[in-house]
Amino acid sequence: MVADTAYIRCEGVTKTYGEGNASAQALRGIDLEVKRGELLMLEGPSGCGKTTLLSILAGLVHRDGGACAVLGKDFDRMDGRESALFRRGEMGFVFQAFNLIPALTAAENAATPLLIAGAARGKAVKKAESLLGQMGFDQRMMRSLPPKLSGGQQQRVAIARALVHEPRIVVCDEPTSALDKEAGKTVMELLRKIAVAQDRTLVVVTHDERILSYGDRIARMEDGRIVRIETLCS
Amino acid sequence: MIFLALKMLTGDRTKYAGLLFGVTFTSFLVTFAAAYFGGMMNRSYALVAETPGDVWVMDPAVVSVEPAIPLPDSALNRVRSVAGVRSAVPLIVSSAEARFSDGTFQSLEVIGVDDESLAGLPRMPAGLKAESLRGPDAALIDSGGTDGKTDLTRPARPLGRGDVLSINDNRAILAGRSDALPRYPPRPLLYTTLPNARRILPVEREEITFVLANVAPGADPKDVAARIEQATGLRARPREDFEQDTVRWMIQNSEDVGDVINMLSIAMLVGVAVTGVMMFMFTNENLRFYAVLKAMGTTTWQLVVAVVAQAAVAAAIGAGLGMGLCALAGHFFVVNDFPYRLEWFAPALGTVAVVVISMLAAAASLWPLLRMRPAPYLAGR
Repeated sequence: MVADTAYIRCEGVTKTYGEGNASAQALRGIDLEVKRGELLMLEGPSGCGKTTLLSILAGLVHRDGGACAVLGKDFDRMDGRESALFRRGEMGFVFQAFNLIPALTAAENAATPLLIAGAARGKAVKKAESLLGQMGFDQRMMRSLPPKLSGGQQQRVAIARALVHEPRIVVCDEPTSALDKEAGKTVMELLRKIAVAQDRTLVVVTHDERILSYGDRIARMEDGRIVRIETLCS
Repeated sequence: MIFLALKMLTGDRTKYAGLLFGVTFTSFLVTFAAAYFGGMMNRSYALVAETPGDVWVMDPAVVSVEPAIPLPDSALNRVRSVAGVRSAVPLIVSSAEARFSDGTFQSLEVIGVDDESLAGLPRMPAGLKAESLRGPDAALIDSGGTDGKTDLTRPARPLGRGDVLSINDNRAILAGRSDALPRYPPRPLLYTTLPNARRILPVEREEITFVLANVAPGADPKDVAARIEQATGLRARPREDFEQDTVRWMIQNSEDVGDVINMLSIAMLVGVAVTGVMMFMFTNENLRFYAVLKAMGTTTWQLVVAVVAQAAVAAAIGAGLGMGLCALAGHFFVVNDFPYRLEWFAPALGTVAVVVISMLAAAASLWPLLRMRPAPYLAGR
């Protein structure tokens, strides 16, 4: 359920890559607010600045101008360690290419955020297995290495990894782009069911028209600007 | 985090094996070279080690067992007269060309021991007694760590009891083969009594090389050595000190030391190259995953710890494998009578080498990691 509390608030955010003649303005004044429990779809053509905006929201890229607060904190006012600790506790990530570590089993991959935070291995893996179990994984699949899993299964592991430490914000960059229609649908249903249901805020970057209907709102971007925000009836 | 780092390391079997190979190679070669060097140095003072005598007295210019400068016969009595000396015997160490019965020539180190006490003779094999040297023109032949240099060619067999050598037109009748400690540099040895040595060696004005003094009960060899030096003007060294002098002289003068240093340098270079390249390649190929970890909240310090843990584990396993291989090779060397002695400094040097190459390898792989920005990797760029 969407609450009034804004987890993410950006005003006039700008970002330019490069310098001089080689510079490219990726964001040209972004105003955006994402509330608690909301699933925002960030849609637009390639090169419109979606991933840059997501990276700024996640504190992975510094903005050039404007203001941006995530859970009331400004990444640009944190040092590297503070920023890392904030992401570790409050944010989950789902990447376009899954980015699962090939040497770790599915359960170990899903447990990664807990391991980074210093949790005991056994405890972390157990919690990850419990979450993967909710996503339909059996023991054999949990012990499989990523190359042995299908694309849909790998993305489910990536989702478990984004949620296992119970973050308040999850950012997803093209989570269905490497999946077929059915697998993409399953992944989005999972995100909707497990992530948003627990009052988390999700920002999903996509240019996959088929999954837009899973969002509460759709922010359409063009040429570094949000040109339209649509509210969907769930 | 360390668990993740180690899983990532061992998961990439090819690079893990390459990394272990680099460390193992360095550990083995450095430890082995040091042990080989230890073996050579140990053999360099074999004469001192197997000859009784608390204090060795020599010409003031002599600093090791190698360059022999004769002393006058009077040196023996002068040493005997010093307070604290219980007994003293002379020892001749010289070299001579010997002609074998098959007509071949061989250079030998001739060691002439006191004919009364026979002090200075090496270990005797079963069935051979020191008293056999008391026979006319008697001598003992010893390989001294060489291979085949005390063999006859026609018929092909080792020299032994009854064989006659011709040295400076004097004969030496072999009473048998002794079992002396192998020498460094290796050389065949001929043990005989002092009068026989004087007989077969070219006549010189002064012939004694060393005086071996035994100190009185309760006396300190260092004090007695100091008194001998003061009273005689000769150089006197307690046994252990003379062994160290000889090692020091060998290190300064032996060309083989340069070979050992070259061996160590090659081991370090290969180790750094292989290990550094493997670590760098491993980290570089996994940058995408490190970027994921960084995005998820891994601090820079945790990444440093991860890489150091990877290098440390590879170092520990590689060092163990290398030293294990060194022990195996050492066993083979010892059984085959090659110089090898695993002194404390050999594994210590191996460990230092492994630590150095591992630190360099870790530094090489930290460089791209610390410069890495996660965003481009996560966007698939």
